[in-house]
Amino acid sequence: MTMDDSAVQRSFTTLLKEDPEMSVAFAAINTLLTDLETHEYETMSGLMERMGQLQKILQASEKAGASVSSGTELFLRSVTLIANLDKKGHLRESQSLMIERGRDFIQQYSGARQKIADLCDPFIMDDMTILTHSRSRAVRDALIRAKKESGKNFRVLVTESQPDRSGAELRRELAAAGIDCTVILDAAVAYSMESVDCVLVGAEGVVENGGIVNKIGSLAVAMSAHAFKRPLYVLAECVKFVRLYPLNQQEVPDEFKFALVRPGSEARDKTNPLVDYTPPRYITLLFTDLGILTPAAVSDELLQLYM
Amino acid sequence: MARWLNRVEPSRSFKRRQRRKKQQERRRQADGSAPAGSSDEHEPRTAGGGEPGEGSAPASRSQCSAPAPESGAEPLPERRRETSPVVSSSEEVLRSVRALQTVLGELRTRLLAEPPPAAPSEAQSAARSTAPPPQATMAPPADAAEAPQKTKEQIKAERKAKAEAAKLAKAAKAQKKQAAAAAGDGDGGDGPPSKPAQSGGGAPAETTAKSKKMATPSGEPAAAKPSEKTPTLVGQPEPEKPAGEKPAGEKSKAELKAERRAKQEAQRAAKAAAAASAAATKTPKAGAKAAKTPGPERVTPGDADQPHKESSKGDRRSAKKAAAEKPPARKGLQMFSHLLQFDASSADTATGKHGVPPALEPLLLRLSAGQLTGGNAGAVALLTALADLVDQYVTPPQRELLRDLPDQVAAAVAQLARRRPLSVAMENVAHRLEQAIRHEDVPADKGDYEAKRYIIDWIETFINDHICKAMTAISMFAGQKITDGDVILTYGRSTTVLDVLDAAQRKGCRFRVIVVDSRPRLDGRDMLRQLLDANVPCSYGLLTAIGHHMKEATKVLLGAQALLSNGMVLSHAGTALVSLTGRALNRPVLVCCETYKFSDRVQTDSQVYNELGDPNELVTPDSPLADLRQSESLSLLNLAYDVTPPELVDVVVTELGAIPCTSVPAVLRLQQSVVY
Repeated sequence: MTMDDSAVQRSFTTLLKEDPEMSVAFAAINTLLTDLETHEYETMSGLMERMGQLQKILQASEKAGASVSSGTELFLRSVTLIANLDKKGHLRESQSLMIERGRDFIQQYSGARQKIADLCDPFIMDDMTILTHSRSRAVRDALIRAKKESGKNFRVLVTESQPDRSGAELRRELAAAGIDCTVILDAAVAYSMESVDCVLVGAEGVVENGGIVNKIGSLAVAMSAHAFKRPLYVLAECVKFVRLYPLNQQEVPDEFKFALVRPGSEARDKTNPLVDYTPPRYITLLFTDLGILTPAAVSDELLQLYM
Repeated sequence: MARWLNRVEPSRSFKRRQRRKKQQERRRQADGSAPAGSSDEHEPRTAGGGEPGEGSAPASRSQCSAPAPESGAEPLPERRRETSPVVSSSEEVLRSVRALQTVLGELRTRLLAEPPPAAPSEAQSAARSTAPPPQATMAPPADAAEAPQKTKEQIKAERKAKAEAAKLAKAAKAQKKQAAAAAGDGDGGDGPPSKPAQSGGGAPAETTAKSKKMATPSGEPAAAKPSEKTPTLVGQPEPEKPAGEKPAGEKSKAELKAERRAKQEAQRAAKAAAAASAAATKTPKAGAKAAKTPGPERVTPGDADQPHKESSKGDRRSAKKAAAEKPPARKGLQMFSHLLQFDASSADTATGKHGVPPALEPLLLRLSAGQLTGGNAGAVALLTALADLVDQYVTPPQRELLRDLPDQVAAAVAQLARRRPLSVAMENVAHRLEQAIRHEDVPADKGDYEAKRYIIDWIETFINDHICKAMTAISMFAGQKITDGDVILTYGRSTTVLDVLDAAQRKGCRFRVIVVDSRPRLDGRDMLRQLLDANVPCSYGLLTAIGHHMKEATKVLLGAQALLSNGMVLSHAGTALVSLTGRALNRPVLVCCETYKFSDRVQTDSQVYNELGDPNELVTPDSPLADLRQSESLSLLNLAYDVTPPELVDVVVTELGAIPCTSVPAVLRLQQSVVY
């Protein structure tokens, strides 16, 4: 079993390594799909049990974040919906149907980032100064699209985003696309806020009340934007909608907040959190592949997705 | 509080007994034997039950032992079917109702806590509740039989004796005044429990002719008993119909009545003449002041004659209401003139002018007595009463059940709403029932019996799924939000919140609760007692000190009457203040609410829809301000609810999970798509 666990985790991490563009949620979904394709199950309950196990294994892996649980959950929901419809049929047929549905699912959601970029485009205007925090692929794609396809000229401030300095990586990518981009200190967010027109951030997870779980420091950025009355836009795919309703930072699960001490171990280093929770009242709008949502609408969408 | 179920429920079993008795009579008449024999047979039993606990309960059980063989054995119902098919089928329906009773019995234990000790009727109900296991088919009707029987009988009797009843009501009201004076701090009105005593004494004297009808009230010691203990009673007032006390007072009352009427007429005429130009506005106001709710406010406590004046006023008011005249609001309260004014008198019921069908009468009485304060309790009581209504329903010739019955239900509820403001929960369940009859697959083609059974089953399922199970689910979800070391602040009394805290305590969570309470209802005390019973460490304080209490708290947990479509939370007045303080000090505010209480209504203030409580609760007779109640420039406003804007609420915990309160429309859509 443990052998199996590590094998699953390895295939998950290799997926992420092979395609750096792939989001964590999709890597997890792909792992589940691969398992469906390669194994043959005797019973439906056995299949479901296995899927539940895999979910846990992936959740425990090094790179996992909030979106792993949300992505896999959503995937299983849409896949088993089919299975329920086809209860009378042979399990093998059901399984092939599930695989088909799984591929559709990936197909459907793989265009998400592009769609978000399209939705976000009108909100990015010439001569704007845009602040962003950490590195989000959705934000990056949206900015590059606005520059390259719409030919807009704007300036981007990127926070350095310690501890992994992911801001520097984003700066490199944006500079390569010809965007005027500056890295600022995490501590300089409030200082820069008065010259900023809008704030764009990504999200690791969007929680039920429309708040987000994101790279540490997002809350400070959001509060600062709120204090300066600057709009804060969140760019996130709907596979990142998590069934979680935190009331405060304590209620964000540890597996989202803290890194594993070493890869594969259960223990987590609880000295410094990697993510924080931003309550919905600091968020102006969410750009998702379901459309542009207010934070309050997230719960409505979740009710529809999960009920 | 738990008594309400006893009271409403078994009325069906009583009715069944009545029906059976009538049949027996009929049969006997057919055989040539005296019909009086059956009523005599009934009389001594109840009359003999001098001791409420020991005497009457066994007596009623022996009465109820009659249905026992019948339910088990086939032949009996068949025989009855020969005599009267309608009755027999509805009796079978009743049997399915018994299943509902078991559900309700279960709910009773969970939902409602007995008010403190001392009330004999409680001892009685406790004694009863130990005896019948919920599954025992016979026990529930038997154990709960007495109470509704009383009310039922009384209702009938009083309807027959309308003239007397009006007087009785007055006297009862006078009594209520006195009792309220005795109770002092507006403790939920100890008055009503004393009424039955009078009904016991007064009824037989007045109604010697109606031997059978009045037999039961006369032998009504169970209800009469509490009156002796009036001062020690803390519980909810009994719904018993008021009945005459003081024969001496009746003379003066009649006089006073005439006197007052003349005086008012004179006043009115004088005013109309004095200000001819302003007459249009002034006269109705003057008239209204005389005729309207605040009537009771004017009573000076201690004045022996006053109560009679009072009730005479109440009488005229009810007459006016019957004439469908809506009295304009008293000065200063015109903002709230669109709301049903508070009216504590049961005279409406006594005179039989209320137009509420008999099945809903006990409910009306209990609403009038202010017994049903909780949203869930009200909803269950209404559903149970409507089950009664459905059970009694006989499709009129030339009509279809599926078309007629929903109208009947709607009409009955509308009539009820004209007497008492109904909570959103009650409106919702009534609407849901109506919709269910219209849109679900009621097997109407199989005859009334099948259809009625289906509908009553539906009611049972609804109570079970949307109220009982919902509460369990909420306590599960909200329990996850309570962690060790939490200090939970709660306000007033909410059965759902109580459930949550109780479940969290049993889960082994170590937390503390601050119960915040407010005048005039002070129902937080009930909450406090139940929490302490559950071994939850508590502290208790008033809303006035909320600023202090909130500092100690880590989370705020509140109940709700309803959630409105725009995310507003309609709840016990004071909730908005608690949430506001919670937000100001950054404490997460959780609201627990079952989704059946979600309303498609939109409301932005507490004024459009609200409930007016008894203004006397604000200035009690022993208050130093008591003499000012007659002041022209004083208006008393006792609002029951307020609305809390969605920004002040972090999460609503429902049986679907935790949602923000802005998701109400989404849930309503979901309900519509799922249910129909």
